[in-house]
Amino acid sequence: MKKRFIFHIDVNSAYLSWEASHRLQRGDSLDLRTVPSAIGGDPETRHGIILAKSIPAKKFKIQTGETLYSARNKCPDLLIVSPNYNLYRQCSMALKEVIQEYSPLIQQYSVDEFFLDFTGMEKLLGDPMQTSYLIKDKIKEKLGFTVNIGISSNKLLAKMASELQKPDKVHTLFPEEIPSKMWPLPVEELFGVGRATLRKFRDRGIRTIGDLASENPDDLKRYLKSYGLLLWNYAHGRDNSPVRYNNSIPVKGIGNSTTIPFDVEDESAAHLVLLSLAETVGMRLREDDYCTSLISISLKTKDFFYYSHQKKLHLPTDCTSVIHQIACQLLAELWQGEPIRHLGLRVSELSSNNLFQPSLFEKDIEKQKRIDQAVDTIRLKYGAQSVFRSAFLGSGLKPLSGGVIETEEYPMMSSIL
Amino acid sequence: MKIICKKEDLLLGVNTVQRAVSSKSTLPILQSIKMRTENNYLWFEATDLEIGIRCQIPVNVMEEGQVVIPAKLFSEIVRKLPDTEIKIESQDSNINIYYYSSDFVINGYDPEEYPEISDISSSENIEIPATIFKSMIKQTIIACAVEETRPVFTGILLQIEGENINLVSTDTHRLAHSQSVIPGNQKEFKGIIPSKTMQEIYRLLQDDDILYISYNNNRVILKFGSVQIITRLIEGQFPNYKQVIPQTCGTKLLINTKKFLDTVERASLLSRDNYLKTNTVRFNIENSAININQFSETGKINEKIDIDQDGEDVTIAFNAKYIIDVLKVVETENILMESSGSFSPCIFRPEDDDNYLCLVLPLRS
Repeated sequence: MKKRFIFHIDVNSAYLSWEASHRLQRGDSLDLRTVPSAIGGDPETRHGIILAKSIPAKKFKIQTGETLYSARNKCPDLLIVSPNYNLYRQCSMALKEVIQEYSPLIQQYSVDEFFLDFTGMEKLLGDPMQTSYLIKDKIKEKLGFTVNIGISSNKLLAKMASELQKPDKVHTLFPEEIPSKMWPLPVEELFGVGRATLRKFRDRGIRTIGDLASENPDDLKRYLKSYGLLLWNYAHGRDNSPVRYNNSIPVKGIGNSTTIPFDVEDESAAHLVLLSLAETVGMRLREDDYCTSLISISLKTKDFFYYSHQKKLHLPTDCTSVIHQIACQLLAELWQGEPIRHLGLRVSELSSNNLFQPSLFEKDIEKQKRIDQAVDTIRLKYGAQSVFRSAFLGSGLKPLSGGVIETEEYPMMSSIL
Repeated sequence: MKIICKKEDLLLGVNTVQRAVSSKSTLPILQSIKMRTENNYLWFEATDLEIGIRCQIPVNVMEEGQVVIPAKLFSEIVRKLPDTEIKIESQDSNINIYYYSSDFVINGYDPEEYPEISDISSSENIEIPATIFKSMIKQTIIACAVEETRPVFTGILLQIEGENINLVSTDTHRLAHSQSVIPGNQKEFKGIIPSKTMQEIYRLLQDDDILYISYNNNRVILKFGSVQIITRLIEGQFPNYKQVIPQTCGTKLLINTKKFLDTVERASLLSRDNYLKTNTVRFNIENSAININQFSETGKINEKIDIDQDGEDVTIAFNAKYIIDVLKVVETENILMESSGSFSPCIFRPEDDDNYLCLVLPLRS
């Protein structure tokens, strides 16, 4: 088989870099990247965690995901900036535009990560290594932020390569380089090794990726099932997933969730939050021309206990109000009245919406369908906030919630490379 | 208890009551059969607290008494017993089964703990000839809902008003209605009977039986031959079915039942596992013919049957299962199909028989 060249392009401290270059372009004299700084949520609405940090902030051992309070303890002078998701979306789109010039086959893996399949492009554009430097420098020059590019023969190794040393670097990690470049790394650096798996590996004395690679795959399979085998293959740099053009993975379910700015204790407020989620979930469902047959809700209490509950529908639906009504029923069955911190709504068992089976003795949903359609059209044309339900007036809640950016076109989390 | 009986009688008793034995109860005693003697008869009883079935067989009673015996084990033993005289004797809760010079001992339950299948003390009896009732059940049971989310739709409405008897069932996507006449009846009854009970009645009813129905406000007892079925009625209001049945139609078709069934069954082979998760079948009705042109990833099918058409052309899509179900219970050579357009309820009825109809809602795009 012909040798593949896969690039993984990863923005260095994305949110922070974008904010910094945005400020520089506006004429600020301070480059956020040169001082201890971080992008952090608003503790008032309880989104108070560090989302990204600068490299000087890294020296204070500030970690993504920790609370602003503990970050300030580590570094009292830490400059904290609120997130600006619209800016990030613009930057992400601008980045995509630049990258698109180098291959028809790119995959947006997250807001700040792209895969690019360069295989065959060398005939047009020349040496992959040289091109990668060209891409990196072009992004820096044109957009004002730096990226790391990892190059290898598959997506896994390319992603591992881009993580090697930051910022503003190009790394290769071809199969022959695995023993020297990847095996000495701690095992938690391997893609797919999270907290739970790490604990299991530690218990068995697996500390580096090399340790994992030298394990007997049958043993791994015994205690990690097929996932153990997958990770073992990853440790050997084996992965053959294609660079998928966006949305080529069939959707199995659509869900949104939100952390509420205050603890919800009364039913009507909880119903409003569910409505705001039903609005976004319903809209996404209709946009993709699906109907759902299974609705589930999840809730996290103020003490971080997590529950979920689901219901199968006898009739597939794509109606916001039907989804909301069932979500409220589920809440009544699930909720014991504890203060709620976080609510989620998810629909799955999707089916096509081009034919549906009407029912006798049931309210005609035609009218409701037309309302949904009209609202969707208005929102697509004039923006998501252009029309909202009056129930939200004065409630202090957002009429639509869920999703970092309303119309993201890539999965925020995905487990398959 | 001490009895002597024939194997075939035992088997008849067990087979009759076995379907009422609870299959997934948390109470182990409900997974058993009760047997008790009464004047040279042995009564078999089983219940899952929703439906109870009783039946009696003649035996030679040497000592009165009663036993409760695990249903599954007992029925398998009875099936495998030799064709000979069987003696059953109980000692405390142990049940000894003697045949030739062998014996089998089963640990039973304390009969006192078995729930009583209480009788309904009512002198009011409605008498229905078995043949009428059986065919009515067969025609309506197809439209009962399977999911238990809305209990009223899991049963069949039995409505008796004087000489008229009606059975109606619906899962909200289709509705089956069968009516008949019980000559001489003057009593009235209205209740929703669980489809499981109806299935048992259909299975156990012999053509020459007479069915006696008595009832109180939440239960019904049905007696025929040597069998008694006691069932709970489903609570709730059955919807007003009459108002959804259209009185007029724009297209009237007369179709050969057998040909139609075969065609739809063939066409539905190609529509499995599509996005809708139901088998769809689309009819193009024009120029006195039904055309079916279906395709899927696996292939395509073109079917055409000639029919008698009276009225406008129409294109209409259905869940194929609903059509197949009704075509299977219609026994006349031809079936009448009445449509009022692609989105309106469509009615199927046997040719020259106004006593049965099945209404099916088409799929909408």
